[in-house]
Amino acid sequence: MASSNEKRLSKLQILVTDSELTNIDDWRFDNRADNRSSAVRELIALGLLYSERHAEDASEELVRLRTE
Amino acid sequence: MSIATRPPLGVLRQFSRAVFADRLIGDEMMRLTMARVDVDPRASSASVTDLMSIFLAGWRALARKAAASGGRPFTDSALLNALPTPPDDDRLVLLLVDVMGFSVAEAGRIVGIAAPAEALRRAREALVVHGAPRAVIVEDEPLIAADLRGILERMGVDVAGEARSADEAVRAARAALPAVILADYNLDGRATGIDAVLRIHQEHDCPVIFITGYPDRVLQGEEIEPDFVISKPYTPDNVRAAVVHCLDARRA
Repeated sequence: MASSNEKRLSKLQILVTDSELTNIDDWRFDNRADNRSSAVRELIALGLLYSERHAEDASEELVRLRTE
Repeated sequence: MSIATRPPLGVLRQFSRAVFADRLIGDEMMRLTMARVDVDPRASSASVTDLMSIFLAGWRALARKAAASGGRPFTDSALLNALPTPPDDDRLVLLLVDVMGFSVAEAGRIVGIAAPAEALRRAREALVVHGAPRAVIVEDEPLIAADLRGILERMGVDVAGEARSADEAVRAARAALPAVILADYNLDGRATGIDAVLRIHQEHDCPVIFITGYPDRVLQGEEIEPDFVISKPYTPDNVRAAVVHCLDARRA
C-alpha cells in the first residue's frame, strides 16, 4: 500500500452500465457511504482485502467474472 | 503521412475513438475486442488493413455474443451490451476513407463489401446536419481558421466562436456552449489545444475534433488524449465527415 501523505492524485475514469451504477448506489446506501466516489473507493479497498485474505476464492470468482 | 507507414495500433485507436467520438469508450472497445482475437498487433506481419478487418470482425462477433448472453454486472459482456453496435456499412466506409484516410478499395476490404465506392457516395449524400449546431474553431493560423469556417458554414453549422489561443478558446466555449469544437493540436508551441480542451471539458462536455499533422503523437493510449483526430492536410470531405459523425455519435 502507498503511504498516506502522497501529494499526487489521478482522476480515474471507468465505464459502468446503468445497472452496475445501481448496484454501486445500493451498496452505498446500505453501507451509508458519504458519496458515490467514497463508495467506489471503499469497494476497491474491500476487494483488495478480500483477494488477499481469501486468495483462492477470489481467483475462482475472477475466472467466472472473466468468462461470463 | 501515408496510413500504411503509420503504427497500426495508433490507426486502430484513432478509428475506435472516432466511431464513438469518445476516447474512453473507444479505448475500452479496442481492449475488449483485441483481447479476444488471435493476433498480436505488434507483430510486423499484420498490415494495418488486416488489423482493421480483424478488429471490425471481432467487434461484430462480440456484439452478437454479448446480446445472446445475459451480461452479469461488472463483466465485459455487460459492458459490451451497453455499448452501441457497429455503425452500418456505409458509415463505416465513410469513416475509413474520409476520416482515417484509407483508400476506397481498402475500406471495402475492411468492411467486407464489394462496392465500397457506392457506399461512400451514399454515405456522403446522407450526411445531414440537424438544426444549426454551434461550433467553435480553435486555430492560430488565420487562413486555416477562415477555411474551416467556410466549410462549416456551407454545411449548415453555425460558427459561434473563433479562438487563437487556449485562453480565448475557453472564453469562446463558455460563451457559445458549442455542440462541437475543431481545434489545432498545437497552438504555436504555447499552451496546446488540448490544454484548452481540458479546461473547457471541466464545465462543458462536447466532442472535440483535433486537426494535427502528427496523429500518432497524440494517440499513445494515455488518459489525456483527444477523442477525435483528423490529419493535416485535410479536405472539406474530411471535415464534413468528422463533424457530422461527432454530432450523430453524441446524439445517439
